[in-house]
Amino acid sequence: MTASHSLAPRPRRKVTAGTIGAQIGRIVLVLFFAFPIVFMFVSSLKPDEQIGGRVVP
Amino acid sequence: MSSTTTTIAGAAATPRERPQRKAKTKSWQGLAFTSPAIVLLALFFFVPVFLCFALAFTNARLISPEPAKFTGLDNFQRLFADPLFWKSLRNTLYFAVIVVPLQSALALVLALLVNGQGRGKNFFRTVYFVPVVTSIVVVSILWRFMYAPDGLVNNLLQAVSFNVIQGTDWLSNPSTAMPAIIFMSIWQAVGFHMVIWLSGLQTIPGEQYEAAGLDGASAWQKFRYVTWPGLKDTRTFILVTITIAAFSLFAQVNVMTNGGPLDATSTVVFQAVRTGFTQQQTGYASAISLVFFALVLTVSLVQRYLTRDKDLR
Repeated sequence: MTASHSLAPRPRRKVTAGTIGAQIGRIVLVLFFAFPIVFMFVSSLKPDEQIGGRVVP
Repeated sequence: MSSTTTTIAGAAATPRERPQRKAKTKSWQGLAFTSPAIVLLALFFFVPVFLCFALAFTNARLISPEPAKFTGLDNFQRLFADPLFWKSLRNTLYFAVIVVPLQSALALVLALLVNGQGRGKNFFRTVYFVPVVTSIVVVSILWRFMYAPDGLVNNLLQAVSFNVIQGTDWLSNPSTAMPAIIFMSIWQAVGFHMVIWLSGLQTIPGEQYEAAGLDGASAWQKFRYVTWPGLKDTRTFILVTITIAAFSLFAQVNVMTNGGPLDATSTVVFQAVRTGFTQQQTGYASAISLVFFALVLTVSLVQRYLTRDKDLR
C-alpha cells in the first residue's frame, strides 16, 4: 500500500503561455538584477587602469 | 536552628504581602532587563532629538570658541529664504513621487512572480534580493563607474542600438543626474519590498483562490478581488516605509554626485548633513532637520489617513 503511494506519479503542472511568459520575465529580471553585481566581480579582477572603460595601452 | 528562623520569618509575612513582594521583585527584574535598551534609546534617540529641537533655535557651530546663543526663529527665516533649500525640497519630492509608486509596483510584480510553486523560485528570490544586502556605498560607487561617459551603460546602449544612441555623461548632466539616481535606487531597494509583499501574499488563504477559480474568475479577477484586498495592511506598511526611505535620500547623492551638477541632486537630508558637518553650522542644520521631521511626519499621517480602514468609521 505504502509502495503504491510512493510510486504514484506527481501531477504535472500545466504549461501555458502565461507560465512560459512568467518564466521568461523572471529570467530577464535576473539579468537586470545580477548584471551590475557580475560587473562588480569582473571589475574586481581587472587592473585598476581598466576599470570604468579606460583602457591604458 | 537556621531552618527554624526561616520558618518563623516566612510565617511572619501574611499571605497578602507575599504576592505583592513577588510582583515588586518581578518589576525590578523587568526594569533590569529593559534598562540596556532604555539607556541606548535615550542616548542615541531621545537626547539627539531633544538636542536637534534645542539647537534649531540657536546659532551653535560645530567647533566654535563662542557659546551658542538663543536666536529665536532666525534659522527658520534664513531657511525659508534660502533658494538651495527649496531646490533640495523640490528634488526630494521629485525623487519620492517617482520612486514610491514605481518601486512598490515593481516589488509587487517581483513578489507575484516568485510566489507559489514556480521552478527555481528560491534562486530568483535570492538574485532579486542580492542588491539589498550589498552596501549602498559599494552599489553607488559601482553605478558611478557604470554611468561614466565610457562606462558600461553607454557601451551597452551603443551595442544594443548599433551605435545609434551614443549615451551621455549621466551624472554630470543636470537633466539626467536625478533620473540616474532614481533608477539605481529602485534597483537597489526593490528586493526588500518584494520580500514584504511576499509575506503579505502568503497570508492570503489558498481556499479563496480555489473558490474564485470555481466561480470561473480569470487571473486578473483573482488579483483584483482576492489578492489586492488581502494585501491591504501590507500596502499601507510599504507605502509608509518607501515614502520615509525616499525622503531620506542621502548616501547615493553623497557618493555619486555630491549634490551636483548645479545642485540638481541636492536633497534636504544631504543639505542638512553638508550644512552641519562640512560648513559646521550646527544650529542651521538642526533647523533643516526639524523642518524635514515635520514634513515626513505630515506626509506619513496623511498617508495613514488616506489608507485607513474605512469600514471602522
